[in-house]
Amino acid sequence: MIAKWLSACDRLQQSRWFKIVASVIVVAIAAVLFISYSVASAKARDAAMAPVREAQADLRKQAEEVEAAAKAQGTTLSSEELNRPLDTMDATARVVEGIVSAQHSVAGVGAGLAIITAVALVVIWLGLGITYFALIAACAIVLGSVWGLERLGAIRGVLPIIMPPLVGVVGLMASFTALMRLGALLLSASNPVFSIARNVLTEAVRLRVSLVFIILLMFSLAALPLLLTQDQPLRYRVQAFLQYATGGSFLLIALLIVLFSVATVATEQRDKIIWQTVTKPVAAWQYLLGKWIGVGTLAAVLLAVSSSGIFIFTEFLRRQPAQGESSAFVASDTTQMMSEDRLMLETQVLTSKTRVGLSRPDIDFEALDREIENRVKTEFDNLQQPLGTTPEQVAANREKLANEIREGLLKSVDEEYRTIAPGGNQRFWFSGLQRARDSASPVILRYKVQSGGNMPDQMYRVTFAFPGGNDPPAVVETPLDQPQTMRLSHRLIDAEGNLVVDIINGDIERGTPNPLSITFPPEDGFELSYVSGSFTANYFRLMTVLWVKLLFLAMVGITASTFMSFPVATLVAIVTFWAAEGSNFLLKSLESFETQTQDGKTLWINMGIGKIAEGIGYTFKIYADLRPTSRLVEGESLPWSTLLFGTVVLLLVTAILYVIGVYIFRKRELAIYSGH
Amino acid sequence: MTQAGSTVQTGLRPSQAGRPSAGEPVVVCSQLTKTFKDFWMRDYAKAVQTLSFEIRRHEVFGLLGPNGSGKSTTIKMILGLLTPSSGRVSVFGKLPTDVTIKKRIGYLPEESYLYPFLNARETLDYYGKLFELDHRTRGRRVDELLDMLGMTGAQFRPVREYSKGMQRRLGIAQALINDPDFLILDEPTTGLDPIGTRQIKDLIIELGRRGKTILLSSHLLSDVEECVDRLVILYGGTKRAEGTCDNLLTTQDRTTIETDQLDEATIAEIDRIVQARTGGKQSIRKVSKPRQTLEALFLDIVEKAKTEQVATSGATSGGQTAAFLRAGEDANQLQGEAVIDKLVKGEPEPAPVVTPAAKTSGPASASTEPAAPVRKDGVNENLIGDLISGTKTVEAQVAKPKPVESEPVKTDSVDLSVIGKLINKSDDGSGEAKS
Repeated sequence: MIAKWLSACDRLQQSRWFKIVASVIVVAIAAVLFISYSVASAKARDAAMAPVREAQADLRKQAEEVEAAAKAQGTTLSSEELNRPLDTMDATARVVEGIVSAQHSVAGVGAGLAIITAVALVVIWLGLGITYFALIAACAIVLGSVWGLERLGAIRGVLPIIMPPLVGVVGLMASFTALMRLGALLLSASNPVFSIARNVLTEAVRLRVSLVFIILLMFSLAALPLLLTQDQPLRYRVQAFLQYATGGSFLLIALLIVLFSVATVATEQRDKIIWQTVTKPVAAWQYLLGKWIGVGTLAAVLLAVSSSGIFIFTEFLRRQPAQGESSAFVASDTTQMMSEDRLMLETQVLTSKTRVGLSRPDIDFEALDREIENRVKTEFDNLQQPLGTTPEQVAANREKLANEIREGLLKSVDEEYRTIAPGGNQRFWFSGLQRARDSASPVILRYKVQSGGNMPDQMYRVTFAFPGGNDPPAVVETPLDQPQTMRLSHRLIDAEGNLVVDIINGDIERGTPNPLSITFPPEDGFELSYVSGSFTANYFRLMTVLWVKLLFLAMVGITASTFMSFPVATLVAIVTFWAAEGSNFLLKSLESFETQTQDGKTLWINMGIGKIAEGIGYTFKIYADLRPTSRLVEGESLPWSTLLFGTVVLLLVTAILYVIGVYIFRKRELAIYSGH
Repeated sequence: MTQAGSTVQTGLRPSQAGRPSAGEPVVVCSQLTKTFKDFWMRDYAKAVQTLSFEIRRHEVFGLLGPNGSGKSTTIKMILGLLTPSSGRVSVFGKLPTDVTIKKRIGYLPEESYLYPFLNARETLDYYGKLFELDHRTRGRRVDELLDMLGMTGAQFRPVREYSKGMQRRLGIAQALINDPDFLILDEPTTGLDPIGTRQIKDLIIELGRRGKTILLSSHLLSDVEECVDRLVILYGGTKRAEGTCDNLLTTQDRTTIETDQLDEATIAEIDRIVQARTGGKQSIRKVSKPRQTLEALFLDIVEKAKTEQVATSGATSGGQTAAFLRAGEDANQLQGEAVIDKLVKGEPEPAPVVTPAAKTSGPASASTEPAAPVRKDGVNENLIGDLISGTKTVEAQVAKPKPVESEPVKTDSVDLSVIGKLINKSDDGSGEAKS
């Protein structure tokens, strides 16, 4: 009964006459509101100006009386003397009128009303008039009831808790409905590809499984802000929100897309619905392309809704007071322009920064090769038994040993380069900073000091000197094993884009060294960064990456389901998803994956597994290297070039999968299916 | 004809009347074989074997056979849903996988495989878009089809809520959305109530009359007998018989004589002459050309195939119904009758398409039966009577042999020359008046 009623409402809101009538009503209401407001503000303006007018009239009257009195006494007053108070009053009246007019301006209200009316008309013509009205009404009823109960004293403090998630859910649902309808409108052309794509959108909304995912996504996003700890520094709150909201929503959307892309093709084959479609003039390429466009549109809608919600809430968080601020953007310490928390938030998180790593030290590779040769020779001389039975085997093992020694030596050189003895100093180079220099962007040095056992209560005093500038060396007191940042001027960068830092293990002012050697580990970055774009633009690029990833995953699911049953295709698609997401971790893990025993025997099974894992890791490396979520959380810029390269590669792989899918689909006998 | 007032049945089927003449073949199947293989690529079922036939333009072609005889497999090969293991099939002169020919085909599978989340209107609109029909044409055809199949009232309900019969109606509608030149109907009346079945048969006849080429596959013999021009009977994946209904159903060694009504004395006199001529060995049995029923022919072929031990991967004749299913037989029967009664006693049913063909209940009734009363909804009252009684008597009444009178017949009132001419004519081998 409810379904029937809802269906009738939907038909009503999509009918042409309803749209016309609703539009007329909306425009009429807007006009009435505007006219009423104009009249009311004119009255208010008049009321506000009435005392001034009265004062003007009184002054004029007084002037006339003075003039008359002067005439009666036979004296003559100059017009300047007579009019001076009047002129002053008129000038005052003009100023007051200006202020009152600004206070009761109809232009601003008119513009706001016009925007709201335009949005309402768009909603009505998308066929969502009743849906939106019902959503807003339901929301208003719930909030009104809670407000009423609070006023009556039945409950207390509930409104501030339920209002944000409720408004959030309603907003997200409303956006989702509008975008889905817009997507369906864009796909309403009468041809097989668009028709199939549009049908996929309908299927997504009407199938319970996908609807559950969508509702879960909306509620999770709306409820997530409640989980943020208020006493944390603002930057951590923002980072936590971005991490969980973006990562979580992408995970949910990706799982939905994978499952749905498989289901929409595999279940049609299982239930033989596909017979009805492929016996129409629909080619295999059209069918699969239609499915992909449909799933891609669904992904775009879901991503647009969730990312808009995340963006809006992030901007809301940004406008909250940070630690060390009396109000948003106003530091409690008046001697500082900006609190530390705010600085970190604006320069490290809600930004688009480019990171520049430490340049490797100059290495004498000839000397390195000699050293490697010597060490290999020593190893061979000390061997109890030969490494291999044939000359080829010996040569291969020798080369392998040389590579291991090379890697070890380079690692040692790097560690040595990053380590400074007590009282000693080391010079570090960062290059490729021309853009920061040209744009005069401030540069942030990020570092972490490690020493001995990294006692948490121990503080080291470290001196930083910058040969490129005129400032005296800076002595910094830093805790151990904690990431730190230092703001540097772009003037420290030389013409070639290099920035040089001399670091002294000790306090140069006091002349006291630290007790132990210090190291700047490569993890957690010993790096420079500078702002190279806006957070908004970077956010958009990162969301584009997520969408491209979803498009790729959709094609994986569709291709898999052209020749596999639903469970098998789902498994394959999900494994592909995890492999792609974790390929960098996989490659890193392989570094410590043993394929040989201590005595040099090959573990063939491990070798096979390792090779497969390596293949998977390198296949999806580009996918994983894009790292949209971690880039977003760290405020790291995704350059257009990287975005373009990643997009082209992923779409190329998607196209290859599509061609494979079409080939299989054409060869398949669709009336034979083993998916039951 | 020497006998005044006598008529000869032409055997013209309602679907053929006013039909454009048959032309080039729409479908050509040549030595078509389909063998299904298991995972290890070993043959496990031969669904169709060396099957050859043609479907000509503008004809209603029947594909008959018991379950598993290869009907649906053949249709799927014609549609490109299956690839023949050997042999060749062409549709409109092209391979079945050619997408361009599918614009001219409408297909109703053995079950209406529809999107459960769409409603009837959305379903038809979706399939209309696959044919790239413009908005206006689509809207008009959807309205007409929904109206024709009596689904206008239920057009906004999701398909998953439909009964099987309603889904079948929608399936038929989607097969017609492109106004196809070639319509493939696989068991179109499955799941339909008797009135729905009648409507579909009338629709097929009407479409045939309008020059559509139709391939009708069914194991319901009455469906096929009423509608098709030519047919093929399959068993075990092989063709057992092919021809027009008349060729297959007419008994060639018997004669039906139709005259204006003769009195009993005349008939007795004729009979006496026949007996006299044959030395009392023969007598008149009936005065109409006897006709074997399609069902009899079908069963004969199946029985013959069985005795020849032809392999079939489909169902064979079953035994008795399982005991647990027979437990409520009487109750079920009563329930069934109640349902039919309900259908007949004016339950709101969709208005059927009233076509010239719908006014005739069968081919044999065309000239001998008085026009059957037609209800407001266009349903033939006689047909309903037949449905209630559970037997189909319209044709049987026509073909029923008149019982031979037992009392002695007079010989003086018989014109022997007429009888003699008739008998002589039977000797020329035309078969027209052979007794």
